[in-house]
Amino acid sequence: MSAPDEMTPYATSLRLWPAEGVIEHPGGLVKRLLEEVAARSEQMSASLIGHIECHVRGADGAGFHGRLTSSRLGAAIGGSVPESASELRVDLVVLVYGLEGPQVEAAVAAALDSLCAGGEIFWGNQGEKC
Amino acid sequence: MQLLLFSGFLGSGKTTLIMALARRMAGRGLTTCFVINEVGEIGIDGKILGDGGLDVYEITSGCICCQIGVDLVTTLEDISSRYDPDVVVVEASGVATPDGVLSNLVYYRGEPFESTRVVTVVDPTRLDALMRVVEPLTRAQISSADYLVVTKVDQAEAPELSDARQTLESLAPGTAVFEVRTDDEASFVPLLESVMRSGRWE
Repeated sequence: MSAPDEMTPYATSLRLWPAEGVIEHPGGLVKRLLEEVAARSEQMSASLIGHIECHVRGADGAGFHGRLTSSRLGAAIGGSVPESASELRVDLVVLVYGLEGPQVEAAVAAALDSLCAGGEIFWGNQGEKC
Repeated sequence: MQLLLFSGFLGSGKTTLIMALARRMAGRGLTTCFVINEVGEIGIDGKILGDGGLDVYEITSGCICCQIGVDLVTTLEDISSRYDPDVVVVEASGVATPDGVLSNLVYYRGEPFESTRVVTVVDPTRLDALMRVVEPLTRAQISSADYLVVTKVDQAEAPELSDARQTLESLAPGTAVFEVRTDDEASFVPLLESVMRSGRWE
């Protein structure tokens, strides 16, 4: 664990896609993703959430974004959120204090695994076939 | 050309305010350039501002107050020579100090700035935590401000708001303080009008 007042920036580009059909209400899915990352980071004793935010593009190129600065307030979603999407390309930035980079990476992976546990959604890094 | 520097911790609401300010400036026919500095390899705020129709200069390979001030200087010189806009709005990274950013301007060789002002944005729901975890940064951001903006007043609990007011008064006595509600652009108007009045942009 790093010092409480130290922060290691973490960024990654992800793909989310459905087992079949489309992802319904992608704004809700992204909100859950950010809140799961926050919860996992706090479980690992992060001293402070700077921000956990993402920019998302659907297959049609339309963009929306999500941001979380505290678990109490939850994540806020803004921009042109589509009703459904055949896939989502997510640029995710996690800035939390008190955790090392590998810990943040583990928190993100655990959050994604939790989100995809039902087998309806899959995730992978952009450019990667999973 | 006037310089307006937005400072404030990560997630305090800087980008939201800048988008609102941009709309008002465009409505008055002012030419404005935007420079965004973000921590980390991927810049999200620049993409959000881009979705909002703004063209922005992004500096994402470090912090402009302590690591890559030279990138800010060359960016401002490029803006000065290419566009010479009425206003340059710089959104500092959430971990930058205003004094650190402005100290780089001694190396700037473009058209001199007519004025330089600092707007520091404060999230009252986290100010207590910030004073515990990153106190020197928080003090530096607040004490250097020409304008202080308390955001999320609709989401903060009453004790958080009153503690925030006390902290701001203690760290920056006499500095103008504006309070704004999340996603309620009408509440931004007094701040935006004050900033524009002081810049003689009416």
